[in-house]
Amino acid sequence: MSELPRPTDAELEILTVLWSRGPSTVRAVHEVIAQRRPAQYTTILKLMQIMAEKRLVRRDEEQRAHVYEASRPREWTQRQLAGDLLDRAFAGSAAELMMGALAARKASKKELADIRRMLDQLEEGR
Amino acid sequence: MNWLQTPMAAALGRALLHFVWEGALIAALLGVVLAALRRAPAQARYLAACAAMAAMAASFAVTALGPGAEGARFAPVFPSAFLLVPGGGSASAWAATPRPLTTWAVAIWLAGVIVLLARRAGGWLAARRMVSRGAVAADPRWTALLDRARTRAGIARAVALVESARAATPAVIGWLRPVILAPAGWLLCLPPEQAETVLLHELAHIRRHDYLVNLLASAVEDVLFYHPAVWWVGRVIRRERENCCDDLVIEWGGDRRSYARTLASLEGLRAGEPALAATGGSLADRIRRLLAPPEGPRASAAPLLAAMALVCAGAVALPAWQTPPAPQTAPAPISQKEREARQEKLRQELVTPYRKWLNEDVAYIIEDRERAAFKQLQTDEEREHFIEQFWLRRDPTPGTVENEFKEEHYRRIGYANEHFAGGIPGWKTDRGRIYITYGPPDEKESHPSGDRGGPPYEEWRYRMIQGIGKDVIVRFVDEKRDGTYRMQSDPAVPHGLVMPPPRKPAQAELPLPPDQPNGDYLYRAGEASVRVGAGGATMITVGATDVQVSLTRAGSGDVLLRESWQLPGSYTRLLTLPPGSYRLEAEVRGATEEMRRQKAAKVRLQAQLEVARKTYTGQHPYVAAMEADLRAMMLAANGNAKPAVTHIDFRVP
Repeated sequence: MSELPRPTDAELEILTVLWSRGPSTVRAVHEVIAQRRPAQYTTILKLMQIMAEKRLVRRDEEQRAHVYEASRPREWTQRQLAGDLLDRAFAGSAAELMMGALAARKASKKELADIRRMLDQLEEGR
Repeated sequence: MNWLQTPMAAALGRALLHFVWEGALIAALLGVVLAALRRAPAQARYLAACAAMAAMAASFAVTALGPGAEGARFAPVFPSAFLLVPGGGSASAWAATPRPLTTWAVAIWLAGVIVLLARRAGGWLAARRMVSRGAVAADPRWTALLDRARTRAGIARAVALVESARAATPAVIGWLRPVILAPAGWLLCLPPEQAETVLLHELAHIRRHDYLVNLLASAVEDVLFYHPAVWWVGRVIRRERENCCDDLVIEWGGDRRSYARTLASLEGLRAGEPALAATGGSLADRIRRLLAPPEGPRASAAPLLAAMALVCAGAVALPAWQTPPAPQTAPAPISQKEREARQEKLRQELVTPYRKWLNEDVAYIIEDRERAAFKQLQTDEEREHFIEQFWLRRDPTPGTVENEFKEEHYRRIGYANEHFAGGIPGWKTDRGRIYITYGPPDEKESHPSGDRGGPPYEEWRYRMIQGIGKDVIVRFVDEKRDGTYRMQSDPAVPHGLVMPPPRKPAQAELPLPPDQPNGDYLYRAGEASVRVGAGGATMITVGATDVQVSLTRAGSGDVLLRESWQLPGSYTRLLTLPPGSYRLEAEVRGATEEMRRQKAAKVRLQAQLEVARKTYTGQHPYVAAMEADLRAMMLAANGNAKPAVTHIDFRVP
């Protein structure tokens, strides 16, 4: 599959709704976005139609209300999705401030092997 | 360059140099305290490390601004005459001597501080922007879980929850108005208990005001960036903070082993790039600590020692925002041998509970296929997961915390043990077996004196047993008259009363529908659709607001999923299924899009009819036509009124 264009901020917001809720109609997407900021239904509709042309989303026209779906799963990396220069430049520093359940750093292969071994040892006893 | 010649700059330079030994001294003290606190709860070590960081900040500030800073002679805060430097003389004397090196040190330090603080400010802004831009309101299922987690954590104030595509893992941002940022779409793939565990961890951070403490500690680390002791104390704070939050999650009702497993599987779930700065200790260390806590609740004099040492060092301790650790009484200290013996016993019990579960608890309700599968499992993790799924499959209300089936099952076991025991445990007797498998009978007749001198017997009548029939009578006879009742089957009932209902023959494989453009297979019926992708990735969607969905495996009838959904928006669930044939049943109880549209159309038509009736007198054909249309709509609507059940048979290749 050819590389898809990087989504703009507004497009990313819509994609986030689709990743979060699954395939949805324009009305459903608009309802979700409107919970946090005022948004016009017609604006969302226009954006989604453009995104469909750009192949960022797929449109299912079988029902009367078209159902849109994100065309790629959410495993785009941070770099592809990061917003403007500010976000990208300070992503590392931002991660240091956020408190998470998991470390911002992915576990290394060795660590994953260690963890696997520890959970296995529960069965054998040490 | 002129500013660097001022006395203020000179004072800063001296403070920077003084801090070299001040920081080392505080770090050494902290090292001693941490060693003494090795067996104490993580909260104690966390507080000690925070106090050390605060002491470092305070000592630097006081050294820079203290009395005599402008004079040539400088009285350091810390008695340091005993610290010697190579070349003779005490450390403080070495630091107090003005030298040309000082101005360069200040210049370099200033440049470093500006860069680091700018980076920190940029990061703070970027973190806030992740919440304000590009984040969407969280799925209502997330917020429902959050409310439940908040109740368990005892947090009354509202916490915002948003989803964002830019978040790689869930995180908390902000102190006064904290926001939990979740990666978009995680909820579709996480089992509810794992999602709730994640939220509990974030709530632990919120409750302990970790965001603010981290911000302040980072500021100190930026200002005193050149001293390795500061980096070390920062690492200790971060590591112990995660340990404290893990402890809180356990305290709020978690099980250590399943929490450890949840963390491990969450780590496996996330995508994203490696090599961002770490915020906590390594995951392997945390899991190791969860599985074999080295700490005991023994009270010790060490915290008092720590407090005294740090007070002596002039620490300006941060006010204790953190919640105080749960009060722990000190049990009599157990000897090493006793502790080891206890651990050995615990290890052995790990294996036998599963045997007991398989052969006693669920002996009557587990199917052969399930039993065979369970025996093949290698690790406790897999067994726990199997057991979870086993009960979940049988839970009549999977959306609620209670599993009524499981509770009833264990109630029956208890009842059987209490009432039917005699020589062998109650659950092993014939009556116990029937009671546990089929429940209490609808009618019970007991004949303790038997029929005309015959042996005592009991007759149980069940009005209906699924898979067997109606009006089933089971008779238990005490032939030996010693209280052991054996079952005599009613000739009308097939002999295999206690065997599971006969399995339906395996169905022939369903044909696959035509490929979608991206290789997925799409099945659709009514409002429901199933999309099967590579590797068994299956997405189930039902476009309605009140549905009950169940997914069963064709042939065996195992229920893999049973959920209710009563929230706005359509129902979606992502799962991975092994190859096989399945049936999805979706019962739509609420108004579907189609029904709402029709209702709106009906309301419009009624309004137009009103107007028409007023406009046209008599029986105008226009009015008659509209009335006929309306009648047709009502009939169609009534047809839609009862819940519609659609089912989709699909196959995962």
